[in-house]
Amino acid sequence: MPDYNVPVPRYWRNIPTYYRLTVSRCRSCGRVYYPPRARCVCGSRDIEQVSLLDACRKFRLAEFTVLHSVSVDFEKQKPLIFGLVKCENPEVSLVSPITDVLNVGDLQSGIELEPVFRVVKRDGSYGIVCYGTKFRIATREVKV
Amino acid sequence: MHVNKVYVKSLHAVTPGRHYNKSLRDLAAEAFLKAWEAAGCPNIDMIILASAAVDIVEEQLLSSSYVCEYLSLENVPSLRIEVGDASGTAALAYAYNLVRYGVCRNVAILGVEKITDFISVKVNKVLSYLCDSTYESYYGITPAVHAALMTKFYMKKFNYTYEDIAWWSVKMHERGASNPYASLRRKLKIEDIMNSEIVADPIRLFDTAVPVDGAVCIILSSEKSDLGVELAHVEQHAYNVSINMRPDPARLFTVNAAREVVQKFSPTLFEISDKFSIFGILILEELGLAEPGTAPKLIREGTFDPGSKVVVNASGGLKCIGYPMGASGLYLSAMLILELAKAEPFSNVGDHSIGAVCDVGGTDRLSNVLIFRRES
Repeated sequence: MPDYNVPVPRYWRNIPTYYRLTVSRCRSCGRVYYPPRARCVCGSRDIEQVSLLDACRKFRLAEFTVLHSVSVDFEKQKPLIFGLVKCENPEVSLVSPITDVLNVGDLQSGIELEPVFRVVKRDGSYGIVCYGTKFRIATREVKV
Repeated sequence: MHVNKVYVKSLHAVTPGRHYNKSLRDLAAEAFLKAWEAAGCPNIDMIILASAAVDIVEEQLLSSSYVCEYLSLENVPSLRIEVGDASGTAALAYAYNLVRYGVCRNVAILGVEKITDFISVKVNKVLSYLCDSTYESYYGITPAVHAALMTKFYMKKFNYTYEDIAWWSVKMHERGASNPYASLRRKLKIEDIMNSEIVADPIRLFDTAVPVDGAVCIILSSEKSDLGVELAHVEQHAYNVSINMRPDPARLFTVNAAREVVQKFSPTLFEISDKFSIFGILILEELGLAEPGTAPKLIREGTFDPGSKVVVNASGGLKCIGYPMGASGLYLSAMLILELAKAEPFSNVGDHSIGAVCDVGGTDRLSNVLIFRRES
């Protein structure tokens, strides 16, 4: 039996969220959700999918951790860094991988981050290469 | 409406650990048969299997039925309850209602986990399924990441150092060193905790509960038993919200919701889920046993040590018992029942008549609080 775990239809379905960081926004009250929801706590089912890469200009690091005890798919990448990333507009937070960190000391609460497109994992010898959005310390100039 | 009192008929806990020579069915059989024989082999109306990962590790659906076949309980109905690492206490809560409302007379709750068939990185993958598979585990996020972030937020909020948090583990290992039901049975110094390998900064190995195999069976009944312990109340709360969407990541909202019931029953004996040290600390504060920001100080000072007015985790908690995932809460319950019954090795715990178990599923997605009472 070929060695792979990620079903292709599932991956394909999730491409908008993995590549474009889509979140749910309630058209009625404006609440934003990540992970996405089918119904807002206000009761509305009028939900739109919004890409944070299009909608949000500023991402900030609230807190982070360096994970050494990783799961089997990430053995070759360890250690992994994960941060609680705050998006200012629309206001939503997410726990996301932080990448391109040469020195962990460079990571401080409050620093600005930018999203980047990266390989997440390779699914065995026969499976697909999985991609997703990670964050790195901002290098670009930010237009306010 | 007539309701029954719900008594603990009997129990048996297999010492958790790396049981390479035993299958999941062997472990389940050992726990069930010893508990059943201790109860005088009563007619069992239902078996409820509590396991978080039996389908993943054993590649087995209908696991409760196959366990029953192994026990030659050919006509006993069974089901499995899975709500992650709170499966055990959820199963107890469900069984409580079956007995209380007269649906069943005797129900066996069988918590079992067989995790050490997998190597540690594979175990980490199974644990990561407690997080959101699509949005978190996909990127490699595990519960340790959540706990690390919670710990850092807590430390910052109350100006604690990592050493202050690490004392939780020292105190648990003081207690667990003499507990024959513990898989990690030795005292540790603060240096041992602080020099253990880093899992997810700042969390180190001894701040976690080590995944182990385990099986424990508790038989609930509408008939009194020699143990003399009653399951008096169950309380279940949920907050189905991911850690990034919470107003404060360093809070356990579901545990806080159970505060009133703790005030009502005033238990003086607690067994709480300390799968990570921060969970133990936060549970003390959310239940109102310690003011916000004071738990690390109080635990270090010995406020909740055996022999005190309020005793927490006389068993050594999950730090010493280990972390048999879905069976964890049943182990905590079994320890509390033995403590209330003043059974060995808990004769030094003190004289307590009401105790509570507080079990948390995932990162505060749900919690179960169970109140046990010793019959006077």
